[in-house]
Amino acid sequence: MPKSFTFKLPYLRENGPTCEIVLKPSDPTIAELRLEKLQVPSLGVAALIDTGASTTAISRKVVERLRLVPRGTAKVFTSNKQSEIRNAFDVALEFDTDAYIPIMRVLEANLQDHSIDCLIGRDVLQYGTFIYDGPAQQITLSF
Amino acid sequence: MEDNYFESETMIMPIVLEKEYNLFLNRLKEFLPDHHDQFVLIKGKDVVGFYDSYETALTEGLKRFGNVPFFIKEVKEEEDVHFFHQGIVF
Repeated sequence: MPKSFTFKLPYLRENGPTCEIVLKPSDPTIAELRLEKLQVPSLGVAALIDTGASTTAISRKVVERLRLVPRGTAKVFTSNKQSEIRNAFDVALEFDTDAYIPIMRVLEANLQDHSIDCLIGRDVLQYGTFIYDGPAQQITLSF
Repeated sequence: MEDNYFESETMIMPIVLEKEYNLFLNRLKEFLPDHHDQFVLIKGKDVVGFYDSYETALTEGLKRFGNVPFFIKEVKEEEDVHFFHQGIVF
């Protein structure tokens, strides 16, 4: 049965569709950390659901707090209409215990001027249904 | 939210695996015939192997090297370029 989340957001138009999520290292990385008897970090953050983003991105704060290490690179298309290379990381993303993505490849983005630490892109939305209800000032996400 | 998340360089980490990325680009033509759509695992100057999924490559990298930087990339002719809403051109 699909798991559905509805968030009432009084400032939906101003702030966009945001929600709280928990980010951790990916499941294979957690297994390795446990083998090495190291603490497994996790971080609750505010995330913006961004249908204009083809992939999910995290802030440097998340990279540092989760002690993530790069697993590759990815190209992003920027405002100067040129592609640039960014570090890529793997994380696990949790909406709650019933909606959990154990491995997500994400990019680092500069979110320092924003009140969010994660952009949820279409690579997550491809697994679910997203409803933006403007008049009711609420969003619903189902997986 | 109309700023460009990728515009400023100041808060972005330097590219850690640039040498591995360049190795990948230099050898991509060699990889393509036998490993198209697989995921290559590269550590330093070594091409460790090719795997059917990102998860398998990641698990192998963790097993061999521990939780340290290593490079994983899907082998395909054209690398994906990720767009954000600011990239829309009218």
